[in-house]
Amino acid sequence: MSTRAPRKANGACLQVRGLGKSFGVNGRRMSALEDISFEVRSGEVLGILGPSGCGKTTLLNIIAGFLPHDQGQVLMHGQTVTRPGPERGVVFQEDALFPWLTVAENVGFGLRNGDGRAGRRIKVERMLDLVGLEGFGSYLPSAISGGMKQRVALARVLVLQPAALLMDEPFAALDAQTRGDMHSLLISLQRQLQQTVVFVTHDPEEAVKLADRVLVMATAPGRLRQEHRVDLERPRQVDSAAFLEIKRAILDGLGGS
Amino acid sequence: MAMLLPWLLPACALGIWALLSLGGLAPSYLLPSPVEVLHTARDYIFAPPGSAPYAGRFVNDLLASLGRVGGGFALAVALGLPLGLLSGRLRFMRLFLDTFVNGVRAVPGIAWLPLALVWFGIGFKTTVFLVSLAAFFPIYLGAAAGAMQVNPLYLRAGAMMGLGRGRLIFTVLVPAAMPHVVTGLRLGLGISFAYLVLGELTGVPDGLGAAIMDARMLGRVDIIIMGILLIAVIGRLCDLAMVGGLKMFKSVRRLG
Repeated sequence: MSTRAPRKANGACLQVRGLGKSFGVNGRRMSALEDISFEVRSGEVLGILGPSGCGKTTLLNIIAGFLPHDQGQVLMHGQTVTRPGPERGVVFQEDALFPWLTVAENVGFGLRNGDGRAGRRIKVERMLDLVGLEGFGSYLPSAISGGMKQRVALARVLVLQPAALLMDEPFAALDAQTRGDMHSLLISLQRQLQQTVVFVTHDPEEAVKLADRVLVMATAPGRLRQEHRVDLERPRQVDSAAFLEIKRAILDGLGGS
Repeated sequence: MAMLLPWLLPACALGIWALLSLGGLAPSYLLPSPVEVLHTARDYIFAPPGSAPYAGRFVNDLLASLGRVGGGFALAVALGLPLGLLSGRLRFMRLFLDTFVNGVRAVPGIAWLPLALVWFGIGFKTTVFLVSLAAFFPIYLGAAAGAMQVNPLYLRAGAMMGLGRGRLIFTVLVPAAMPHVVTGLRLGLGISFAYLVLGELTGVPDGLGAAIMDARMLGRVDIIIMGILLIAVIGRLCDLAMVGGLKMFKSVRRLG
């Protein structure tokens, strides 16, 4: 079992049922996703792993409400997802901070006027502390490093207390050292906030390091192939026998067809 | 050094001008010296009206010209900015507008002058029409280019943080497009002055362009040169004022 505090025995946070999506390419319909079904419980960390081109980013974009789908359903707490919303916070792979706003203004961007100016500032400062950016509120995104930008990207959605945090290869563009730091940060934030997380990655090690459960996707058309539970204590030792065993099982799954 | 650099080229031009006129290389009825033009300008700006031809006309001409530029430019902004943003963002708006806009754009502004005179007569309306027509295109194209190159992730990020369409436009799309928008506005303002003079060449009683045209009839090359210099100075000041005013937007201050 994981070391996280026992969570409430509540139902699914996110449900994906029979999801299908095709694109028109040169007049032909290409199936991108086929019959994808899974559930994510509240407080769970789900990793979606697959080779490039398997449609994992498309899947995440549909859950986020950025893309329409052809078949099936996406439900958040039983409600059909039709468009983007703050209950599904997204951290993108690339830097998508607003370059004309400071770090603090980026983090406060989604906060509603209802909080009041002082209330918003307190929330923003608390969130900056939480992601380790205290003192950087007045910086512009152009003046901070890639790792710090992804911390801001995380902060600006977590401050909205999303029911689910969706991440599309959020650390892929970072160097190994920074990526490791971000993994630690994410693990500690997830534990503190009991945050439901769905992340997409092509890196089996990252998947096993972070996730409670890993869904492995196959390509052309994108579909779910395997599911792996990762019942290891955090922080996980990436060179422990148990870790390597799960990683090998996943790699075997990725390799075969 | 960096402080002096902007003035280097104007100083060189002044030097060559002085050399040609004071050195006797060009006769003064073709090229009056800088000193003569300075005296002319002093009278034009400060002398009591009526004491000499052109004396004291400056304020009246300036206000007339600024009114025409301001009216035409404002009209061009009011139309060009929203239409440009729409065509940069929406494919059907681009298809709908592009052929027409680029067709009209190919017609030189001066070709509209006869038609404008027939439609609007001599004066304010014709000038405003010409100015707004000319300024529309750079403003429209700047806004369209700006809106088109906005990183789509910014719009997704805004929507994901709960913004509706209207607020997305004003808090994400416009700020992200701002560098191109500002370029379009500056080009538009610059061309406004060009068409101001064109509109005032048609026989209006006041305005900087009218002063230049009158002076040609009277053989007052000093007035013509002074008028050209005043338009350059006023155009530059208006550009500075507009860019300064736009600095109230964070996106202009921080992305410029």
